Amino acid sequence: MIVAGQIRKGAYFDSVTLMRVGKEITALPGVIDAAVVMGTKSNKAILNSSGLLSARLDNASDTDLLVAVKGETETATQSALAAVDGLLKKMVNTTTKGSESRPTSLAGALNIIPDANLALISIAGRYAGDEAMRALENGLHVMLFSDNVSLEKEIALKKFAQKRGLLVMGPDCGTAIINGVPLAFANVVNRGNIGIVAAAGTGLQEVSCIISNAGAGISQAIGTGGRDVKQEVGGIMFLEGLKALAKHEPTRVILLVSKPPHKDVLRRIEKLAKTIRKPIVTSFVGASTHEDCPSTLEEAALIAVALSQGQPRDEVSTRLVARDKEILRIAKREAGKRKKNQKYVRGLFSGGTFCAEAQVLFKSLLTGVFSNAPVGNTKQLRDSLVSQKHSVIDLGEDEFTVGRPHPMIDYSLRNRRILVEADDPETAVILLDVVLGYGSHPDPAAELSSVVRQASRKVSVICSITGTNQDPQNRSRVEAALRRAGAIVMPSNAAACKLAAQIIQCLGRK
Amino acid sequence: MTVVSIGDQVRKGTYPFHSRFHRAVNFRHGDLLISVVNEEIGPGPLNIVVCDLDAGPACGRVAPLEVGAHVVVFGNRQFQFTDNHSYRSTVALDSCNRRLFRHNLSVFGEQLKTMSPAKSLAFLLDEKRTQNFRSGFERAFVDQIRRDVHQIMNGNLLNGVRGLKGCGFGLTPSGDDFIAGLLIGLNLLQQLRGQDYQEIADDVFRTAKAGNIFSNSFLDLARRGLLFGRMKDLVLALMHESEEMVRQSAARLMAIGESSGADLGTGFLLTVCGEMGVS
Repeated sequence: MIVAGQIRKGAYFDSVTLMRVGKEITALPGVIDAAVVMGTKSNKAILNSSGLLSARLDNASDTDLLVAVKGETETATQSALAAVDGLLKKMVNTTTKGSESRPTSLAGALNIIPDANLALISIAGRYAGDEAMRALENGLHVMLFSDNVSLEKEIALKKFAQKRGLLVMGPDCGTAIINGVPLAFANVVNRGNIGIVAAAGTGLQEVSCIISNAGAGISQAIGTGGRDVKQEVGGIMFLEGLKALAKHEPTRVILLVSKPPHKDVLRRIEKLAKTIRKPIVTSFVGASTHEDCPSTLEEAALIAVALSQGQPRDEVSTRLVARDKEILRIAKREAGKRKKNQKYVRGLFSGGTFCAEAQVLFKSLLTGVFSNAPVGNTKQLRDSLVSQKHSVIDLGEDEFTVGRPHPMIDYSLRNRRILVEADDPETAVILLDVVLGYGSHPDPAAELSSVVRQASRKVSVICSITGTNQDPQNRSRVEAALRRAGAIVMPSNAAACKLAAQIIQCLGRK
Repeated sequence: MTVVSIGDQVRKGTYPFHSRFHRAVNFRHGDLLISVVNEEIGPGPLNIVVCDLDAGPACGRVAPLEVGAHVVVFGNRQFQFTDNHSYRSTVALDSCNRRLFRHNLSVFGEQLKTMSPAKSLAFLLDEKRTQNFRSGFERAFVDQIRRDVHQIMNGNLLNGVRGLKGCGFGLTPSGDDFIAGLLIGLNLLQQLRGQDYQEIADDVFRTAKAGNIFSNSFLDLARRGLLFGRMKDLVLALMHESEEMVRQSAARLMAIGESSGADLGTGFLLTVCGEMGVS
């Protein structure tokens, strides 16, 4: 074991830099322990008691920066010390590049991983269907991320897969979690005993994150693509997914998420559900279902958590009613900050399911709601680029995404729109969703903070964050940054929408 | 760039450059630092907050800061400000709802336990959090902090402070942040109880003072009950606001530095809750 150290006189780095560099050095090969700390008497005592104090460091003063390394060998120790400069300079964006095989065809991939049982396909839509069929013929389940696959092709793929006991998740399936592995736009969630079938991508992300953040976990999360529950496809994969979870031993509770399925498909789902002995929770956003069905994605997720932990589902309603009181308190406070003519909410969503859920929640709370992707009684916007009264915009719709990345990846379009809406003297609330996880923007807080700061000087900016602390972006960090910028961060899209509507109602009473 | 706010302790004068970070440029004012900061850092007794400050990489000197009547000269550029820009760093606690305050303190404690950074001193509130400290240095650090806080809790205030000072991670080491929280807590208790703890606070400050001007400046302001914006917001939220507001203020506090805000919050909470035996 070799202990060595460096003194850096008068070198000032902020705490975040120092702690991250310390962590990076500790993770270097051959390093047993390391510390990057100020040269105070106390720190030298701690270095001494942990065997990291070399004679050289003993002379350091309070304002000196100390780097202490204990390595397995002289080479490892010196290499770690030599890396400090680079780490201090590059602190952020340090990536480790591993050697990675990149096959160029399905056959090549199967050569490398012969026991693979799932193919994720993300290529241009006109080729994706054929590639998916090849994968099915090779006995692989398919996740088809691509969109623009024809309806006929989708039906053919799903019927073929059904006969062979395989799943086709998609086309246009943005997210799934299979055996703990997040696929495409998915979050890092706890593993557990709740299985999900979803025909709504961001809906799946929202419920899986709420479940994980509530301390429960996901066994499997199967996406089907939104078109699966339409009449033409007939819910083939939604039903197959439900059957699969019914048989899946670790799954104790099943959660079904979708925008309203076609009535024939809904009947089939209900018929199948009656034959399954596991508890099933449904959240068909905007569908007129039974009275005891959850009214939001959040409520559905929390009921699934309660059932998975053997608790009564009624407790969830009680908790949410109590939370609604808190929402009303915040709404009153925010309404007090707004001017007389500020009266409209402007929802700018990157997730289609969130936009739909907002409309469903606003239905009973607000009048005069417009959208570019109307659900239920919501009116169609004349021009997606120009808001009318209360407007909820799905920025993932084609008119915004043709020729440019999805708004979960590229924030520029939404950022511009936030500033436009904030400048409208009639806007009282801007409502945003922020989706974290693999595939989403790596640093949404950095993208949003500046515009949120500007907008929140004029209007109430309400955000919901779909993500977990295990996500690469870290939910808590994003939340803290958005709060710093002036946003009100709510625990779910439903809570954010309720707050937005309550502010408008309070303003109406002013 | 425009001035957003100027701290109530910033006096007229010329101050030489000390150091710069991405979001702050520091100037020496005797044993204290006056900082020109961006809005993300926010107001403080010795902070001049300007819009759109990007101090760039931490290199290169800056011309001395000049503060006049309603004008600041920074980086050879003049910025006007009015009395309306003044940030008041003290809190008047004349109407405190004690029941609400006690409840909100427990909410704040829960936030510290569940939301603070892994390597923060919140392990003093929740033993399970010591699992986050794995390396030899980190384990020795935990032992040292525990020992010193134990001393404080058993009435050996200054011995404990002596051990804590300069202890741990960061530019202002964790122990210094904790002591600053303790001093802020003492000041608050002094106002709530109408008793005079200033002598104790002065002793703590003298004991904690060392060669680190960042820590010294921070501790001196804390001793005098002069609060930076996020701490002031938290204190006001604890006194008067809803749980959600407390959580929001706590989150903003905990976002300071890597663990500084949480360390300060832990020292503050333990002191105000009377756990420290100093009140």
